[in-house]
Parts: sequence; structure tokens; C-alpha cells
Amino acid sequence: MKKNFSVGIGGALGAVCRFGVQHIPIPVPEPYLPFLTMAVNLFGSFLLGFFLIFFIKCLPIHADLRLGITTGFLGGFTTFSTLCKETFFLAGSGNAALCALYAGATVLLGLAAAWFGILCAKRLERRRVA
Amino acid sequence: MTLFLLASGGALGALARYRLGAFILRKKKHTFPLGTFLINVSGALLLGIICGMGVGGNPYVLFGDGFCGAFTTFSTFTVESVQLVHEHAKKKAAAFILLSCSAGMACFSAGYFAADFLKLIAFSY
Repeated sequence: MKKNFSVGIGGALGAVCRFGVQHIPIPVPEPYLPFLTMAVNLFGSFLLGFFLIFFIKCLPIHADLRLGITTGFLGGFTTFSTLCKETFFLAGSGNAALCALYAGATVLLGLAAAWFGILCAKRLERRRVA
Repeated sequence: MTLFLLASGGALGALARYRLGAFILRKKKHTFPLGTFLINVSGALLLGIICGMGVGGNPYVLFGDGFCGAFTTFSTFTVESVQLVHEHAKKKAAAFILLSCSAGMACFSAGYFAADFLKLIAFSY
């Protein structure tokens, strides 16, 4: 029951934060706005990779809080459906190069970000143990 | 108002993902992250239907940005892919990444065109 509660609160905060980043008023042409979603997804991937290791190896916090931060907040912060939607509409707008760049860069850099997050947490753990 | 709708949708989306993920995990014992795959693909289909229906304004904030946005997850997708590589299941990782992206796009498009088409029929009467 507590787990459901922490995941729900985390998801609500994550969705609000995502919306906030997506609506940062920056002076760029409209076709480039999906890159704000990309920033959300890359940052979220890094943080999830980092915290999943960090909370287990370095800073053992309560399991419910951990679930709220990882599954709830970071899961709700990043989004896959909006990525599909924005790729779809970029493809429909006829800007194939921008569409390919957006989708390709999100997936490849997202994987790199997750890998880097895991690496950082493992480095921290090794330094702590040594 | 926007914040309230976002938070409600986000909470429900994340909760649905957590419960569904745990349920799928109990059902099967493979290394392939089937839960994340099914959640992301079905969320993309749902958002496709929502966009195809032409939902906008506050209902979109609740169901699109809030629920679908929080139900699907990109970070779990990337982290699980990297973990598969670390577990020397490179083929599974490649299959997971390629299948998620292609099925996600296919389902979003299918949902969008189906809803758009139905809307067209409904309005022509």
C-alpha cells in the first residue's frame, strides 16, 4: 500500500517536472521544441542508471522511498509515448532529416546516458569501498 | 488547474505502470524486459488514439501529458537495455531496443490513423 502511494506521488511530481521542462520558454522555431523532451529523456536516463546502483550500494534508503524516486519520479519524468508522438509529427511535417536526428539521437544518447549513469555510480562505490 | 490534471494523470500513469510491471514480472521468468516493452508499446498506441481523436487542451494534459507520459517510460527502457548488455545478453538488448522503437512507432501510427478515420466517419453522419 505504501509502495503504491510513493509511486503515485513520484509519478505526479515527475509528470509535472516534465511538463515544466517541455514548456520552458526558449526562443527556438517550433520544429525544434521536441528537443526539450529529448533533454528530459536523456537526463532521466542518466539519473535512473545512477540512482538504481547508488541507492543499493552507496546510500541504502528505505525501499518505498527508493521505489518512489526511481519507478515513480524518474519513470514518470521520462516518457516513451511522447517520443513516438513527436517523431510521428516530425515525419509528417516533411522534415525527414530533423525527424531522424531527433529519434536516433534520443535513443543512442539515451543509452549512452544510462550507461554513463551506471558507470558513475559504480565508480563512486569503488572509491567508497577502497 | 493544469498542474492538478498533470499530477493526477501522472500519479495514475505511474501507478498503472508499477502494478502492471509487477504483474507481468510474476507471470514470466525470462531476462527479456517484456513488461517495459508491453507498457511502452500500449502507451504509444493509446497516445496515438488520443492524438488521432484530436483531443486538446485540458483533456490532453490529463490523458496525454499526464497519464500516457507517466505510464510509458524512457529511462527504464534505456537502463534495462544497458543492463542486458552488461549481462552479456547483447542479442536480447538489440532485439529489445529495435522492437520497442519499431513497435512503438507502428502502434502510435496505427492508433492515430484508426482514431482519425473513425472521427471522419462519425462526423460525416
